[in-house]
Amino acid sequence: MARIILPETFDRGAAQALVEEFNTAMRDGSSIVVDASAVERIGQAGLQLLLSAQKSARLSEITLAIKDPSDVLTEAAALTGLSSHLFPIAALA
Amino acid sequence: MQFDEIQEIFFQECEEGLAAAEAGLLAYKNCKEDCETINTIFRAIHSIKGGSGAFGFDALQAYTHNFETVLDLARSGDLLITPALIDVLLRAFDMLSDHVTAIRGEGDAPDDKEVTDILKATAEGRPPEIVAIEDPASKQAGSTDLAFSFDDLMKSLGEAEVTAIGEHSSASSQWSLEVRPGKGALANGGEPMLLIRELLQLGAIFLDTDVSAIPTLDAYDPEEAYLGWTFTVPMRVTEAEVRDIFEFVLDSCDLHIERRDDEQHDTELHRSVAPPVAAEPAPVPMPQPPATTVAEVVSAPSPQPVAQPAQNASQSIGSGSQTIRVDLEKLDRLVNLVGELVITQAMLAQKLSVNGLASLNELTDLDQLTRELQDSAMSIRAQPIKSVFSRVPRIVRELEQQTGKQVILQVEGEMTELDKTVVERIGDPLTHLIRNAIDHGLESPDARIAAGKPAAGVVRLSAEHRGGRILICVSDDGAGINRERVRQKAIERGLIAADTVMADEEIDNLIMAAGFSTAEAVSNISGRGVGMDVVRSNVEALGGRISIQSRPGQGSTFTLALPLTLAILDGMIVSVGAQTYIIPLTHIVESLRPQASELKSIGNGRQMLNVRGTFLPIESVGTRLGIDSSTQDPTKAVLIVVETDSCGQSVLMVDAILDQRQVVIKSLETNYRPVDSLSGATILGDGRVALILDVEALTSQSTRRLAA
Repeated sequence: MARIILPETFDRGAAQALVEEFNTAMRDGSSIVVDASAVERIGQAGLQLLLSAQKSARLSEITLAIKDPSDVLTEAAALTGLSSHLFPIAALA
Repeated sequence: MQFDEIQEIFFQECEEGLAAAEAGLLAYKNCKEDCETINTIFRAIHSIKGGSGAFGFDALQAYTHNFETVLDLARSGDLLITPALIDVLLRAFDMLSDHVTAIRGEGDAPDDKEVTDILKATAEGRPPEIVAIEDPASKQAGSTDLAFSFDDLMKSLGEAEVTAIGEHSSASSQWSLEVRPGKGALANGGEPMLLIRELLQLGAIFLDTDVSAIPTLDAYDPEEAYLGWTFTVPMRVTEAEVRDIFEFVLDSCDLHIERRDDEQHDTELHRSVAPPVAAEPAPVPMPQPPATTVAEVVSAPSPQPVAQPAQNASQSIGSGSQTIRVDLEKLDRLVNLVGELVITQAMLAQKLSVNGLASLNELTDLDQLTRELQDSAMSIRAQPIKSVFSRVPRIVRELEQQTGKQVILQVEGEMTELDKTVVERIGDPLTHLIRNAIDHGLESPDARIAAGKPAAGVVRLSAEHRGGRILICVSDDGAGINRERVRQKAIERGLIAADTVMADEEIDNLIMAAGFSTAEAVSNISGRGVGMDVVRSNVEALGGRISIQSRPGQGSTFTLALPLTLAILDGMIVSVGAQTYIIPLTHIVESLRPQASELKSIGNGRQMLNVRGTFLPIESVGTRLGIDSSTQDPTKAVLIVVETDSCGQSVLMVDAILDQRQVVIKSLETNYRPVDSLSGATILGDGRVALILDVEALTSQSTRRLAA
């Protein structure tokens, strides 16, 4: 299981840096846990990266779960109507 | 499908609707709402209204109509959503819950007159307080001459208000707005999210988020914008105001504005809330906005983009189209069959290993698949504990009124999933703990202020997975357990001797002893003295444990540790004579083979084991269950130190430990009859039945005999 920790400031620069980390994790196979507890600032680029990673994971049949989203991330997701996309009701694996 | 069955579906949908509506209202109360919240609440209530009409529950339908009217005004922006309005809606919600209970035949139809009047007044923009006083008067007015002129006055007032509402509703037609930031919108620190925030502050309401353009990672470009949004904007907001927001990004942002007339608004409203039994309309992908920078179509109704039900509804409502209802019996049958499969697989593995084929790859695969199948089957039975937690806010509201205490309820982990049976049976114990925390735990506002705390007490309810178990915590920031008083009471009631030396934790645990209550006056909330020991026995019946942490002046925490499922357990397989038994791993502390010097005989054939200075009673499983061939000499047997909540530590003596593994629990009650000292049975790999020991029962009897 790969673990990716999102940075405090999840802006365009951070998103660019994370693309490779996500790609590596995808290649490893199994499942990916994204620790989103530290996010203090996030913009559309960050949200889009999460959605994109989810899409890639879905296509490769890899489980990707965003764990412990910070209040900032939860609020940003709600604001942009992305809550149900980013945090689908988790089934007990 | 029989009428009863359809009606049962409606009842279930009522429950779901109530849960969704309450979650939404509480989101507002806790300032955690988003732009979808009011729509979610509205849809939930609208569905209940629709169904109640179809099934002929007239009282419920009439009541929900008024409720819905207020919600509709709130969602269209004609009624400001203030804390006062939320309080009215919460009150209306509680009444609605009572109505739903009534139609299920679990109570009488409630008297909703007062609440209905408040709702009507709210819809008409009158402050509800006035209505509460006015209404009896206006009711009298029709029957007495004296109040005739007053009646007229009311009538003319009413007409004035009708006109006002008429104006309102004509103003409730809306703009439809599509926003799609394009390439460059994110450049130079541009942030479309800020614009969305401004738009929502203007009163815009979310309809949909389009994520269809999101690429896979290999095509992802952090400079590119992939999202699009659709909003409705109340007509009172001018087009210029909307354009102002996007003034600086018009070059890089597609705006598409459409006007919607009232008729369309109604159509949308009815389509977005499907009747209870009908299938949800399939979501239709949102068409791409035109390529021009700003496309504007005034008075050209184009139903496609706006007439879609909000796909992005709250999770509970929106996920409806992706779930199916399954009869619980079918589910249990599936889980049972999977259990049988696990057993058969174990038997097959054993047979193959006897024939030297244990290392077959296919066998490993089958093992893996069976395990996954078992996990999946169990997860189908898993339910979020939300259904239990959602009852709590109402209990808190009622207790606030009854006790005059102020309570801030914090709920965490409500999506934590656990077995349906556990969810169903944990409700009562949890309710009692909450009542306890508010009634006994929290101090009165005055006492809190005197103690330097905020007037409002905090009750925290949380659930989380930890170490293969579910932990549910109920904590308060009240005064903590008054140990001196608990001790005194316990001595008075003869639960302990006056000179007993006890640790703080032991004193805390006394409140769960049978027949213990420290309430000065027995209140009707809690304090009947049957509460905590019932809580404890309920939790233990579920295979769980309860523990208490309390700090004087800082509050108490009650922690329930529950198993994830009741269908399998981790067990140690032991042999006694020719028999095989299972000891649940949760009870086992350690196992050892003692030296003769560690044993002490206390007469009557009974022995104690010295475990690092503490003497624990030894219970021979063979003797207790009447197995002749079992080992009687502890130095040749295996001693297993077990711990139970009621008796602390004691020792079980068995002949040997064979294995440790997960076993599928088969109920003795259902398949045979309850047997003392046994909690169930399982089938081993070799096809033999092994009985699961009831450690609690075995050790409590041994402790009792010792005390006698």
